[in-house]
Order: sequence, then structure tokens, then C-alpha cells
Amino acid sequence: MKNKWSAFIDQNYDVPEVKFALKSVKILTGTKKRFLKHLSFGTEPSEYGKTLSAYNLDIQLEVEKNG
Amino acid sequence: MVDEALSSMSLTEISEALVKREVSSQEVVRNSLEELEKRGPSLNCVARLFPEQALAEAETADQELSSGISQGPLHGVPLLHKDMFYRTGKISACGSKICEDYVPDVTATVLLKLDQAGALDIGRLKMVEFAYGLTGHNEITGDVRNPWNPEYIPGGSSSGPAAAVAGFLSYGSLGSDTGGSIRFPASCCGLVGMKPTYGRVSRFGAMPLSFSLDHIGPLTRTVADCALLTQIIVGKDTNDSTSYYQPKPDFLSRIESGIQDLKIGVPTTYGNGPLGFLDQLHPEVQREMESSLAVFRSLGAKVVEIPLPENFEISNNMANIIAGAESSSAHANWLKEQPEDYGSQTRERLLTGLLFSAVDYLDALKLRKVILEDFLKEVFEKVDVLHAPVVPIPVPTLEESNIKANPGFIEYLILLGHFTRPFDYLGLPALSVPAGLTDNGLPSGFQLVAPPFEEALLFRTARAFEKENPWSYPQVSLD
Repeated sequence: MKNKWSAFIDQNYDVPEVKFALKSVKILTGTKKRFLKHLSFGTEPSEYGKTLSAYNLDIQLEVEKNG
Repeated sequence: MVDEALSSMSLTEISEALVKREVSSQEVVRNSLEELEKRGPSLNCVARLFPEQALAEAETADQELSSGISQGPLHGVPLLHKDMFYRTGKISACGSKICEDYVPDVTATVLLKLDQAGALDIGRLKMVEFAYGLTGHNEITGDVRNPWNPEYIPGGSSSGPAAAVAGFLSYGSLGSDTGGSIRFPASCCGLVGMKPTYGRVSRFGAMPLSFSLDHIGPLTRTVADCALLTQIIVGKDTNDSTSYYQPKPDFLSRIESGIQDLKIGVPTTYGNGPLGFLDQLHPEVQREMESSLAVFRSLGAKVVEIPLPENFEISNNMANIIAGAESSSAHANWLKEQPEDYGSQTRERLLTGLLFSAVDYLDALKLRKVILEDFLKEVFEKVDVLHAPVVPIPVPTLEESNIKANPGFIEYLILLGHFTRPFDYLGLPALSVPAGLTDNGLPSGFQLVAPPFEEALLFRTARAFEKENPWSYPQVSLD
């Protein structure tokens, strides 16, 4: 049984707003496929924050310590 | 009577004049309120003012100064901000009908930091509905006008802040940037706009659009003003789980030290592929980019071409997936219960977000680390800062960029965030700086991008350019 949302999409497929939305989703999601192979099995979203916050932190802490 | 000389002072100048008691806070606030009353309606940039509170606080600020007490570097300076920064007991409508009566019970951390620096919060400025859009159109509260020419867009979503600061109605203003919403309007209105590193500035008490991509930063008329405001609002905040601890920065002490031997990268292709990052650039904007690079060369910087990592080409699309999913999730209840209360463009974008799968969303988040690592290695191991355009085309008129009146503009609309959104995705600091004018007489800016938490380098680089290429604002009469 279809959920309410996909039923809504089916019923309103010809509505310009829905048509535009479906086209956008196809374009946006289609481009990532060839880069997904670079993700390891255990990759988590939070690893981004670690990479960002750790950048040069040692150097900056040293600068802060030494004025 | 409005004192235009007072209105046109920079944030730094007015702060110094107050400290030296060359002018009182009450005089400055009265002058600002008169300017806002006189010219605010022509720009349609004011959401609401707090005049009685502002005058009372200015009186207190003057009394403190006469007793030798200064709260901080912005003591007694009136400021207005985008209508999405919450203050307990004050309406934050977020450019919408849905929140037109919303009264928050918290105050944004950035506002508290400005309070502690002595600034006076005298009102709110209009914005794109829920900050979702780059042109500045708003079907609910009306379109904000560009002070350079009221027929043109001011850019969005921080449309009111950009118009008010460029129009001498505020000495500076806080905006937000999820896909370019600080840098884009800064470029359209000839301002300096800082999108700091993700996590550098607390988002607590600010309307969320997409929590993984939202950044808060200032729009100002000078680089030093931008550095000053950024300096005040940065810092870890336990109320924002995404804010990071970093050593206390000093954005001002080395701002005048020049850029000799700095290596500036100009992006070319994505990896070894045929796609160029700058391929979609309008020739008039390209001309201004080249002129600005010539200035940097004359200042002793080395300008080199640099290919971007191949995977960077999808960062714009990945950011759109994240923004779509997170904003639609935040708006799910209102979309279900009162969809008719949204403007049609906002509703359309929120609808798109509902269609992404959980896997699409998580893939976009997981790829972020991989693309950032490659970007840091392939770009910032070779150059100090990256130079890129902000708005790919000359600033369009309100009419030609109105999708309802001109459906063909949709092709451009998709391109508008091409140069800004990827840096929200990577979370890198980026500063928009006025470069010159295109043939329509409207400003065009470039952005400088740096490694994480290197905002000081951006201010120093931009200041060197500003000194060599001083900027003036039009005294447009909108009466």
C-alpha cells in the first residue's frame, strides 16, 4: 500500500510545482553516484565536523599559548 | 533634520566618535530613527523598529560614558539586524506570514554578544521568506529595493540588511548564509560580507533553515567594520552543539600588514575533467574579477591558477539536498496545516525537499568530509586563499528576475548559488568584497575563501585590496 505522500505525488503529477520538484530531485541526486565509491563502509556524517574543527588546531593553540 | 555626515560614517568611525564624546548616543540614535523613517519605506527594508527602547538605552549609554564607563567597542552604537534573530519578548517574523506574531522566549547568542559589546538593538530588517532564496523577492512582505537603483534586486536572503547598510540606514547588520545569503546580497549592494567557518559563530536563537549549513555573519561597508563585528560574535557556545572551541582570534591587529608573497588561487577546472568552475560567468563579471586580480598582483601577491578537486563539482547539488531535506523537515507541520500561507516559491522549494530519500540525505552528509579533505589538500596546500566570483551575472532587475512574471529566469536562478553554496557545504570561511561596477551601474563582488578558522587572513587580504581600491556608495535620493 502506498503511503499518503507518494499517493499525493501520483495524483498531482501534472501540477507545475510537483513536476518541477520531481525534476529537481532527479538532477540533484543523479550527480553523486560516481563519487559514492570513495566512501568507506563505516563513514559517518559526524566525521566532517572532526576534519573541520581539527584543522591546524595544534598550531593555533601553540600561537595562543605563546602569544 | 537628518545629519547625512553622521549616517555615512563607518561603524568604526561612529564608535570612535562616541568614545571621544564628539557625538552622543542619543544624537546618533535619533538620527538613525529619522533616516529610517524618511528613507526606509522607499527601500522597503524595515520590518519593525524599537524607538522608545532605543532612545532609553541611548540615554543610559551616554550617562555611562560621562561616568567613564564603556560597555565595549560598540558602546552606544545603534544597529538593526535581519528579522530572524530572536530576542525575548520581541516579534521575529522571519519574513513570513506564518511567524508574523511569533514572540520568542530566548535571545540569540549573537545578540547577547553585541549587547555585551555595548551595541543598541534598534530594530529588525526585512528578509526573504524563511531565508530561502537568493534574489531578495518576498511575496509576503514585499520586495526590498537596492539602494544603488531601486529597480534592481538587493540580493537575498539578507535583503534588508544589505539594503539598509548600503543605504546608510544601519552601521552594520547581522545576516545568515546557508547558500550565499550574506555574500550574495553583499555583492549586489557593494558591501563586505563575512560567512565565517561553520561552527565559529553560535546559531542559538536564530531561525534555522538548514542546521548543517547555516552560518551567521555581518554585512558592513568596510573591511575593518566587518572584522570588528565578526570578532565580537565568534566563540564556542554550549547552547549550540555545532559550535567549536578555537583559540580566541584577533582579526584586527594584523589587518594592515599587507599581502606581499601571499599566494592567491584562481579556480580553473574540476580535476582533469573538461568542466570549469568559472564557465558560467558573465563577461562583465569576469572583467571585474580580472581587474581585482590585477590589483592583488600590484600589491605583491602571486596569483596562480588552480584546478579544484573533481568531486567539488557536486558540492552545490549536495548542499541543495541537505538544505532541502532539513528545511522541509523543519517546516513539515506548517506545510501540512497551512501551505497556503507560504509564498509560492518558498512552498515549491520546501516541496522539493520532501522528496529526498533518507539515503540521499545521508550520502550528501557523508560526502562532505571526503570533499573537504580533498579540497584542503588539493587547494590549500598550494595556495593561501582562493579568489572566486560571488554572483555569476550582473545584478538583475526585480522584474526580470521575478519567476512569476518571467518564467525563463528559472535557468539563471539555478545558477545563482553556483559560486556561494559550495563553501557553505564545505564550511570554509568566505568573505565577499566589492570589486567594481558592471555596465548597468550595479556592484559586482568577489569572494576570498580560506582554510577553516582563517578569517583573519581573509580580512587582511581584503583590507589590502580596499586600501588600493577605495569604494564609495551612491547618495541615492529615494524620497
